[in-house]
Amino acid sequence: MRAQAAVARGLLLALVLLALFPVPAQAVEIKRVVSPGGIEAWLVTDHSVPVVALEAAFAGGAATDPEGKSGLANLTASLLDEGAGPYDSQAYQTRIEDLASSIRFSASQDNLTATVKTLSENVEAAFELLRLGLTEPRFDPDPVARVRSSILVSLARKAESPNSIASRVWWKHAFGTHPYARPSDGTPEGVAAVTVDDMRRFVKERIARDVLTVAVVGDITPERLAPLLDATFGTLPAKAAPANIPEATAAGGGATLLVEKPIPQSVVAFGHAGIKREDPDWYAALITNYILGGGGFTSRLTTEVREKRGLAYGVYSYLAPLEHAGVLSAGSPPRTAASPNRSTSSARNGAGCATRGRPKPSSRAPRPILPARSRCNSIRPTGSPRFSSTCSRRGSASTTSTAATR
Amino acid sequence: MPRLARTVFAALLLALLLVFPAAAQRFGAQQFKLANGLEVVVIPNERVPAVAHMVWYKVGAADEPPGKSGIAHFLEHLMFKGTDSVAPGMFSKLVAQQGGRDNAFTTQDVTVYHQTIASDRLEFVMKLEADRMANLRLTDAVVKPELMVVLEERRSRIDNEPAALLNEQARTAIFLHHPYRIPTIGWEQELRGLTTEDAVAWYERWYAPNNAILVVSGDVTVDEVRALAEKHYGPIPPKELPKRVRVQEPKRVAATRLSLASPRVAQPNWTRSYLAPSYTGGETRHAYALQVLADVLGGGATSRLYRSLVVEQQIALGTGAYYTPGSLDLTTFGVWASPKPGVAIEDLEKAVEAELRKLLSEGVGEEEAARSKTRMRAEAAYARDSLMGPAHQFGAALAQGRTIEDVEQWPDRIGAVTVEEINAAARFVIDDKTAVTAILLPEPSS
Repeated sequence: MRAQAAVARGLLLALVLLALFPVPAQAVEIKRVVSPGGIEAWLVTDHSVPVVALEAAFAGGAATDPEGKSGLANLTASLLDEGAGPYDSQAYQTRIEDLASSIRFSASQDNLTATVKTLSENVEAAFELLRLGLTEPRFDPDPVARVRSSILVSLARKAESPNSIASRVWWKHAFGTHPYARPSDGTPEGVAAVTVDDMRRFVKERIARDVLTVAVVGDITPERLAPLLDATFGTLPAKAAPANIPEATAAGGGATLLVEKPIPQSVVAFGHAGIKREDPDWYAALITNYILGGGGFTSRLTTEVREKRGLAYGVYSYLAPLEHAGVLSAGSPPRTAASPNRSTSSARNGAGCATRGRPKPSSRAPRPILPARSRCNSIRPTGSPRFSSTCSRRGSASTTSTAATR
Repeated sequence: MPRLARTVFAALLLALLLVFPAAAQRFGAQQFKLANGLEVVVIPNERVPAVAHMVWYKVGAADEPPGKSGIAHFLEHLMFKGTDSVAPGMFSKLVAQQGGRDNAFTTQDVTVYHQTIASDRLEFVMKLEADRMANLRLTDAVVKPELMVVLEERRSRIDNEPAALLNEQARTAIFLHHPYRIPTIGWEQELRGLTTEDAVAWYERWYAPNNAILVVSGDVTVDEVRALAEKHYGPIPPKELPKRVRVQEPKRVAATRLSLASPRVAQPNWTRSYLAPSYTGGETRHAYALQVLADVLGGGATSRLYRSLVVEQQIALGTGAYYTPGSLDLTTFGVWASPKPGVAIEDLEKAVEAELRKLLSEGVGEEEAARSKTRMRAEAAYARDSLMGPAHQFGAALAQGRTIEDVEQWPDRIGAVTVEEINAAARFVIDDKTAVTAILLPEPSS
């Protein structure tokens, strides 16, 4: 299974990196746990903190959205924790909060992913909520209307965000008619067109055991986990419907796409075909990308653009190893007046797109585990009062001001 | 209380008791001080063979002289520009060559430098950090391009974000006199005028071991840290430090409203802020109760505001409350909401105000307070899951003049907050006659 292989390779990479550290041998031990019912999970047991984290990925995400229903996977994922089994939306959320846990569902191009974080004493109860979300989502009319409306507003916001504009124009140009050309959170028309029947069909066809990959970390033994795997995932259908996503290559190199906007600062997004995880050169490419633009302050892009020339606050590159295409993506917000020349020179080997915005997080990897309450803050505009008083040398650290306060 | 409610409440209390033993485990932080005044905190954590190493300087944007806004943060950038033994721009590269990561940040109250690295490389980063505590060398050749970087940072963080611009202006309304009204990154016209001399003067005035806190978190013992700290930080002489002059806020008598409309705003937002005490500023007795209040009011999908505005009335897409007790002087308590498309911002405002009035007249209930406290105490268990998180908490507390016990006992103090205290705190802080309301609106492009 490719998703499993990808996770396996990710874990292997973590091990390799740990092994590279010339430190006392204390590598993380990954155990393969197989439940009595045959469900496999990869487990790292660590009893030092009474916390357990789980990630369950189902191969087949937004790229499987039917034509005209772009946004189906994302809308479905966003509704799995909005009421399931005997619990309506508020009851389900109350149950999660009383367990001091977080359960999130999200959809990327390639996967639907469930992320659980819980205290070890509440593992059984939290996993039961996860099971309900995956197997008995209710799709009650109120939450469906509310979440749909939230996503539509979020899409409208992205349509005004120069960073999103640049990214979307780039992916559309590079992937043409392939599903990767569409944003994983969908289009306004697609999201508006999705019906409850579409979402029920998605759950039935996509959330199945043969496309499931499970990783668990924390204060839990293999003996406790094994029966829990059956209790949580055992009733899922055995097989998912075929996804039939064709392989693709980022194309259209050499083009520069310019989107004009009356804004103080320009954003540049650029890139070209990359390589996939199973490529024998994957690790060489990872290191190369680190040198080019993935290594933060030490990267060549940062040295040239920021350190030597003071042209931008941030510049980055990353490898996006999608299931059906590899991509090398990069970008920067250079100064408004300087951008046209500079952007063409740095993008001369790939398709470039210029508008304005902030540095992107450095990868399209799975989203970090967020605390339960962040779900309500997720649609909050940036620059909110609580984050206002911190400036960091690199943009991503601004939210540490909240962590500092308690 | 009706019988059913009593039963539910008893079950809840039982649930609390089940959660607490785990949540109440401590960080085990230890503390000592070097002869030159450097305070040191060690947080042992053997989970991975790595350490987080942080140095907190007790100086931030609020300490800047008039006309020099942004100098604290600018100097933070310049701390990477070389010493007698480390060439400009090499600091991060040296850390990276040893497999580490580094960064820095500035707030109104502190300036902080940090690295994460394999534990047997702790001495390597400590030597580098100690070196730049005393031996920074700045020239126009490195300072001038970095000023461009900071101006770019201002553009991307503030000028390019209508919400950030509005927030920046709203702070000048909530802080009438205190320097917290000035943005940490600085006003653009003052940033442009900063010079190498300004940076050197700032560095010489504030950067000294007796104005710093060293925090090391990770796979290391207190004895190991003591030996290394003595060796690398110990020889740096202390300085006579200037007094931190912090003016106090005058009495607030008027409410303020600000609004900003921009074609780049796709989602309107309404925010109301109140001046509030912190752990160390103003009526500090309310600091713990206000944290629980913020959670009850707007902490999650089951909070009062979310239930009322998003689920029941269906007029908001998102809503919440915030409170950050970690500032040296006064801070803000606030509520916010984003309207559902088609809902007028005035109607949303009325609905939030109705919730606030209900809160003030009826008070919070035992059950909702207990739920919030359970969740908040559990966060202490999650916090122990990281290296940098605890280091951050202890550094921030000590820089604020608080103690390691204050951090260790945070779950207990949250657990001890009573409903009466929450209601007293709410009545103390929430006063719409002196609040600041900031409204972000879309504007059709012409």
